[in-house]
Amino acid sequence: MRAALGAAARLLCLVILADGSALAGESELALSPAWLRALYYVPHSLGRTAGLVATPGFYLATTGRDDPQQELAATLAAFRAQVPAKADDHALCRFPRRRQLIAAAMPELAASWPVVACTAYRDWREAFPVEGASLVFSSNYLNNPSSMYGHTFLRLQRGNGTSQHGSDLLDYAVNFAANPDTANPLLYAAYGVSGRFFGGFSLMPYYLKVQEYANAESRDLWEYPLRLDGAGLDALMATLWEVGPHGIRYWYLDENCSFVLLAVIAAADPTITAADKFPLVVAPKDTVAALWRQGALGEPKRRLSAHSRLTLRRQALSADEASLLVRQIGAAKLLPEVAALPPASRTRVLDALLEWIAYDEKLAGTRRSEKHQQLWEDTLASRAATPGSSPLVVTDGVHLSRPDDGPSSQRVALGIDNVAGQGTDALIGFRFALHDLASPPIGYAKDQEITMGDFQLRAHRQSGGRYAVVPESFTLLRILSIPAFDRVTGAFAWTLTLGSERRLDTDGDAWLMHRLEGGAGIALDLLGGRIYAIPVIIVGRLNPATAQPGLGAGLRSGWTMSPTPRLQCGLRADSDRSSDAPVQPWWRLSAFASVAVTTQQELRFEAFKQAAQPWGTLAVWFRYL
Amino acid sequence: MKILTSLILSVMLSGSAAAADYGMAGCGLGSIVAHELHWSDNMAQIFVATSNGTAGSQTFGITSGTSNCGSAASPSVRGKVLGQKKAERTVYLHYNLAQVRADAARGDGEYIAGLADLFGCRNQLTGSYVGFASMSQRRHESLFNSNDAKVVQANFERALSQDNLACG
Repeated sequence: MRAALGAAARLLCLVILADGSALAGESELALSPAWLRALYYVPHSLGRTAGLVATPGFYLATTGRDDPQQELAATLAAFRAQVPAKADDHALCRFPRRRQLIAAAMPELAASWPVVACTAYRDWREAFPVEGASLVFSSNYLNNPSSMYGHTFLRLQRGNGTSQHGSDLLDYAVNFAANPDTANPLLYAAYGVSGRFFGGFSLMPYYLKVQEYANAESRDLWEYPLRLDGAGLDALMATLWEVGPHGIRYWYLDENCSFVLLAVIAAADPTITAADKFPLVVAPKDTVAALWRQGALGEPKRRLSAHSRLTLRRQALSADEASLLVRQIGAAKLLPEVAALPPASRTRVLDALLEWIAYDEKLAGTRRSEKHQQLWEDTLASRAATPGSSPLVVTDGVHLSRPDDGPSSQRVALGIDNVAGQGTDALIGFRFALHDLASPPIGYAKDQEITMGDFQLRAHRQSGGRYAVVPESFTLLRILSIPAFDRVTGAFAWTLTLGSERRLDTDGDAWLMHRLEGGAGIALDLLGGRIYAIPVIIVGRLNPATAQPGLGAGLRSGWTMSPTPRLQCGLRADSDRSSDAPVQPWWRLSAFASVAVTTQQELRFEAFKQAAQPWGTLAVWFRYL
Repeated sequence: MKILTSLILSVMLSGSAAAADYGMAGCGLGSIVAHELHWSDNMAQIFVATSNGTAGSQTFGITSGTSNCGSAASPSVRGKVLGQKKAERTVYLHYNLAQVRADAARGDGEYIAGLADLFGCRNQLTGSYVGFASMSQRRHESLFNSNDAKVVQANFERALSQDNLACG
């Protein structure tokens, strides 16, 4: 009897120990980075952690979206549940990523799970054989506000579907994007930034994304291989299977496509911490840089946009051939001079011509040439009759800044402003995004300025010696695009600005000018840099004496150059005049030099003079976040 | 803070955060290639075409097109569509025709390489597809006598047969 009691006691102890061990294991797993990331828990305000996925069915516990431990308990219960008639509906089949994690952390539990034939998941994996994955960055697209900062998506490298040398175009793309449910632009804007839209995943052939970005929108693609081994790829596919059918609230500024992709990558590889580092705004470029710094990405491959391909083809032309190309693009049919060229020369001109038509007409997908239909047909026929291939070789002839390079998109600024005879003021600023042309162009396009949410305050010393803080400027949006004028591509300079800035009236008193301005002009390569002049129309508060809106016109001009990649210098001359006659014209001249001190720090000096003010100097230190 | 910063910048947005407003594909490849659809209106539909009949639609059939195809988690029929190179060639040609034509005229390029892969005309050891590319250049006029992907595909099949190229 005593022996029996002893045996029972030992058994009870073992059970308690085993349960305790299991509980400890559960608790450890539930709070582990692997579990938190696999279930898309992200830090929120006040130290709260919440799951990204917003549609029912992903979190199994009632409180699962906020409670990783409850979610693990619910998952374990679901894994132990009886297999339903439709086996693929069992949790073991629906949540293969969680299954991987729990099986690795608590193999004794996995041994007790029911045997389930997850046919759907198995077939899906076989239908999409994947042997690698890349993060693809699509460069900025100024024509669409939601694409101005670029975009990221995943490319899944196709495995045994073709030969080992198979075309990249036949790979797959995984995209996350908002699914807007309104066509009203105002509602769209409000919903987009306030998380009212759901975002969803889609899987498609990679060539569709190439068509969309590289061909239709002429955006260069950067393909960064993810450093995932076989187990990592397995985990990636498993988490895509889990989260793919679900919706995530889409916040344009932070929990956007790039952030969600970071979360997907971290769900597959828990050592990726990049998603934890974006408290405010997530710019696609910054996510690439964060992954790059963490060593999660390999060397990128460039896939050239239609514009870049045309640029390369044109660089291969001799001066005579380039001149002939210019004449040809003005003609509806192929010129006899082209057909009469020697074969090698003809090949170069025809290849450039094909690229030009494709670029000019945004030929992509099923779109056919309409403007140059006859020329397109003539060129194809002539080129096909000229034997020999002419592969496009990617060279450094097309300057493309690596998105992982250069400073981040957000920055704070501290500055000192001294105007002769008026003392020294301090400036402080914060900018949400992205880049201005007075900064060295490392990591950014050298001819595009996109500024969003740029605040500047001035601490102004008053007559009594005390400082008063007044607004200096607030730029909601500023775009300045200054590609060199090109008769072949039709490129022109343009600008658009919405914001407010402090100005001085004729008495030297400050007032705040609010305006929307825009215009188109010309930019040219000159004196080793780029010079531009853009006439603008201005609408806004242009008269300091009244708050009434008015109309004005002005000129935005300047010259920029980069003697070295870390140094940018130039001149700027802006002027405008209100249609309100008593208001004096305004103008401002400045010369600037900006030095990238480190990757994230920049020092800028400026000498300036504006209407109603003597010469002044400004020194600003930027810290990119 | 998120909402505050969002509101500050809300007026900036007027474009589409999604790539496009996808249309309905109907179900299956035929419904796609039977209509002259512009790719940008129908990017998601390509997935319907290539995944129709596979369980893949369970995971990624989030776009509107897929829901038009009945049960999203339809039973798998492995290789029924995606594995069928012929169907994939048609879709590929449909969505890449302009670039395939240009590459074929040049006698090289990644779009003609992709088509060579789908026809099984790339040497698996060397990665070469020069025979296919040369044929595409030489027979350019007859291969691309139509903008219908199915017709172009049939032209390629006939030309490959006539030239006895090692494909398959």
